[in-house]
Amino acid sequence: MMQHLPVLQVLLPLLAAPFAALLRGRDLAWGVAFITTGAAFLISIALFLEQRALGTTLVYEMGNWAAPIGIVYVIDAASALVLPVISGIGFVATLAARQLVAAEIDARDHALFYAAWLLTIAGMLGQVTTGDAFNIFVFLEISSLSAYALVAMGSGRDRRALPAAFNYLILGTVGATFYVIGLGLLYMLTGTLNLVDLAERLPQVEETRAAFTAMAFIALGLFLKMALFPLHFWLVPAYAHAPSAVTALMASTATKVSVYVLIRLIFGVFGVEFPGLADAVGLLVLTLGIAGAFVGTLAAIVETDLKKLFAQSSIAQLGYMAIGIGAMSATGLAAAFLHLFNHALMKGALFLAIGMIAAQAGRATMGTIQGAGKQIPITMTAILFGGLALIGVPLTAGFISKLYLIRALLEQDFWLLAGLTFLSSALALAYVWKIIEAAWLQPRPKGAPKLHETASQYIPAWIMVIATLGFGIYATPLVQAAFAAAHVFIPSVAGAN
Amino acid sequence: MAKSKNPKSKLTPALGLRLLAAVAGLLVLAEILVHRHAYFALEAMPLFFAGFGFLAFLAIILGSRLVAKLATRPVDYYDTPEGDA
Amino acid sequence: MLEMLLSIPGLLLIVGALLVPVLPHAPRQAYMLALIGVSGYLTFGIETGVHTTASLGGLDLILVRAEAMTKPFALVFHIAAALNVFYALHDPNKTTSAAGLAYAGAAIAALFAGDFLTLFLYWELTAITSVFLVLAGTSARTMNAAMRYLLMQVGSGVVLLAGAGLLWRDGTGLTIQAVDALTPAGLCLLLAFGIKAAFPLVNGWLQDAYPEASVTGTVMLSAFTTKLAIYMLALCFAGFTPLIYIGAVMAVLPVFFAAVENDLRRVLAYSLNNQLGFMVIGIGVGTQLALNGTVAHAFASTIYQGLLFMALGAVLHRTGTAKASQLGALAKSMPLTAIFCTVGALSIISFPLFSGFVTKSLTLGAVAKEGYFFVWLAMVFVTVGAVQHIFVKAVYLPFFGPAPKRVKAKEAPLGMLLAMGAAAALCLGIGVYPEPLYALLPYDARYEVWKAGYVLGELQLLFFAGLGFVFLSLRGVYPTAMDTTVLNTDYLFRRTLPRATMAIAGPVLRVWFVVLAALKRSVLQMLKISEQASRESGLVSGIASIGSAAGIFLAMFALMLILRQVM
Repeated sequence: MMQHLPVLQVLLPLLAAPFAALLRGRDLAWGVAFITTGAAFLISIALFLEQRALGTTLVYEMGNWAAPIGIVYVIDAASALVLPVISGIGFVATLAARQLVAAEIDARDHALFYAAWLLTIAGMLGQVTTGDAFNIFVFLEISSLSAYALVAMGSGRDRRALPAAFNYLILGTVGATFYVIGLGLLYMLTGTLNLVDLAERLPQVEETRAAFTAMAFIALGLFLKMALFPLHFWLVPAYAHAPSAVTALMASTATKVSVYVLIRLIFGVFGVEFPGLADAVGLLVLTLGIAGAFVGTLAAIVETDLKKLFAQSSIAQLGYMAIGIGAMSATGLAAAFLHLFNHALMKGALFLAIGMIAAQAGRATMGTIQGAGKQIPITMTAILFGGLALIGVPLTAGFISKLYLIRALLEQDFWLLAGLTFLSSALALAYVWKIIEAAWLQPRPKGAPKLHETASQYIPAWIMVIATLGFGIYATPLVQAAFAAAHVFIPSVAGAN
Repeated sequence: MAKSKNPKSKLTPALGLRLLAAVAGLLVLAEILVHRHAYFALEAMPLFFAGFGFLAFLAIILGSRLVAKLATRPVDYYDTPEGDA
Repeated sequence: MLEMLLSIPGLLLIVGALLVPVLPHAPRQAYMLALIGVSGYLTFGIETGVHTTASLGGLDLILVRAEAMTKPFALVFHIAAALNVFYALHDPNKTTSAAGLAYAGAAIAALFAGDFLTLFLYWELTAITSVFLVLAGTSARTMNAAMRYLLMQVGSGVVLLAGAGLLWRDGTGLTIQAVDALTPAGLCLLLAFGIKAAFPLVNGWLQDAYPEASVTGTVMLSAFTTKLAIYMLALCFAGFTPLIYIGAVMAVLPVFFAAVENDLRRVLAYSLNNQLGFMVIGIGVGTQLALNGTVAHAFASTIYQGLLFMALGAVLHRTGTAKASQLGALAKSMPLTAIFCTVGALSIISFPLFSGFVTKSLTLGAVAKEGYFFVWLAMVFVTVGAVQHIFVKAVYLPFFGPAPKRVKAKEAPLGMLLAMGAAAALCLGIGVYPEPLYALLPYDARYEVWKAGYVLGELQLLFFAGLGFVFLSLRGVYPTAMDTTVLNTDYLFRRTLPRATMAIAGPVLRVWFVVLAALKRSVLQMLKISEQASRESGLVSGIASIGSAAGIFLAMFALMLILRQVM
């Protein structure tokens, strides 16, 4: 049983999806999704603990066919860290989905919704575990296609979900196409798609233009998938008009998986020594990352729709992860992993809380929450903590990742960049303050609908808030895991950490 | 002004004034009996503190006139938008 | 957990404050006093040295460390916190109570911080908790003043963090110790402390925000933030000579502003500022005697300044105004408040047998001993200034002077009287029997204040300053207070800076708008092209994005190629 865990991690939600689609009655479908994501979460925790205990890479050969002929699933320190994020968020989001989906989606579509929901999660888990570059593409498409469908399901409540989903679909496909073209070039050059083999054979052809083009295409395709500025414009409408549960799931996981795949391919396959990589990708990612941090933060400050506001803030946060990648160092990668983990928690908390408001009031805007601090204090406090974590206030998880990000930049003497990172984080105070002011310092307008909250509504968000605070106060194990993940790609050097 | 018109006070202003003057006079006389140890030459001058106290008070009122002239604005100065001020 | 709560001084108050809003009125007051009592007891037992350390991401933090200077500050902070509870006995506002308690706790915890990162945490916590006290004010300007206050306070923390970062880069470690001021890190720290200590040019927030807070809020504010900054300056920059002159300017300038100001709580804010100047001078001189003077003066002034704020707060509470032009003859209706306030005034003008005399004299003596004649002269001058703006303007005229119109007033509520009575007793107690306070001071250096010649000089100074007032009054030229806005250094931030920003940003913005318009045109053009290219599909927004996405892809690919070639 234990040795089959890596494949069960992916297979379980993948097989549960058609099962859920066949079930009638919304509670049954939800029940299947709940049990499946719960099991997936437990599996990922078990894998994480096992990997941490052994300290080695767990390899699972499908049907006992060894690589390079067979397809392998690989659990190393990096994938072991990312799996619990996806399955954990998936589990808590499923918990919340019961209410959100009931409020926002036509009952007839529930079975299909949960099928697509499970497929998205399976696809994301697959991208993380697989050791084969083309397999990544397949899972990427599985998760993306079901995600388009999920976004489009928001159309019952908000017609703009349709163009948003279409836009997302087209752009997502463009991104995936770039990725697969890059893969094609690589296959042509090396004759393999297994990640380990690729890394071994690439040095022989690394000076060719084709190799560079392959690298550039793969990177560009993934830039779009991770919504790196200026390829981010699909994200905001997609998140804003999707059903609230979908926003909560995707905002915390979808782009993160692409960040992970980018790291795995750029550092794991091409490697930091690859000619032109540090200059072309590193510099570009640093510049775009910091630009994205400012653009996203500034856009969030002027935004009044809460889902759009935090979607814009996601652009900024992805910018920080990009900066960690662009630093091209072990500390930088560790910071990116930390922020990937922590940002998933905070955005999960925020979008789950906002989703509960949107499900009640139809929309969640600054007007909706005006004076809401007294009516729904527990939900609003969750939003407050999430916001504080986004700024990077000490004692929240956001502080830890920002701390390591700035350390990574200072290690390389990127003083200006460290200053700018700090400045853009401080700017985040502006939009968090806007929410505090609206919710607590302004009176509830007359005639505004009364908001209410029950334990089942705020508990999912608060699970995330408590995790955010927990990992902010007691961060050591997470920091160690992040560094272990980073050392998979950049071997540790004496003196680093 | 303040001292001179306060008819209801039990300690009439005239009496209060006389008391103040009397204590001040005693303090001046005490200078003869008590030796003041001084760090600075100027400080050693007889009645330095008395003179300095009196003159400094006048200087403060004089200086505050200057501040009043240069730096006071209508009470709602900051509340009016720039350009109107 | 409990052990940690008890081992870090102040933490008990910070965490305990969370419970304050849920308690009903009477148990709440008792609960807060009990917390302060326990905290004070635990804190007073802490010996000099490092006690608790922690490690965060490879950084060594010192959570609890006591210096020789820590104990007197911690003691007076606890005294002030307890007095504040009594003073606010009548006040049902839970936010102010909770914020005030957490604020005191944060300030106390900051005293024991042994490294700059820990300090930063509490430094910002004092900013955030104290802004609620300003927000509790009722005037129309409260909100804006609170925001300006928060900006300066948080800004100070950011500069502090920058300084800590620079120290860390230099490899000197984050431990709080003497710092060379003439390094980038040193300058950052000096500025951070200077903002909170209300150095000249960055003092505006103090006079701006303190008088806007609620009656009880102002009293709480007056004790902690500035004294904490003085304490940090004394730890890091003792003996940095320029501080002597900064302190002298800081002491002298407010004298003239206080003379013009009509709002008596604002007069007190100026006076607080010049008292801080005395302490900064002491730090600059940096001898053992001078530092003793600074610590003693911080101790005594926290109490008498608090007492004055309490008394005028009580006047505001009972009459609805603290404007000098509207007050007079209050001694008849508020006799006890008048007596306590007079004790506070006698203390601040350093009348012999009151606390200011026995503490201020230490710094004055140290300055004279080191031969800084003009600084010494300035300090004597400032004493006369205190006679003018505190004794005459803030105490004599409102309580004993003529009433401009009939002011109806009742004696202050019992809680206020208790707090003021206790503070007045402390002022008198320290003034008469200063030995216990002297024993608390960090160094052994002593200064004999009870020399007949010295006492005589002080009395002459004070009485002849009084005669100056009589002289001017009789001549009819003593100025009456008027309702005005007195421009202070916050003018720089409220007018000069916005103007300069607009002057620079205006043209930039204009260029930006031109660029924006051009961008918009080209985007519209692209929209049109792509719309024409695939009209049948119909979903315009999607098509437009595909067009631009392809463009961006190409541009980025080109950029990558260029970067590869160039770098």
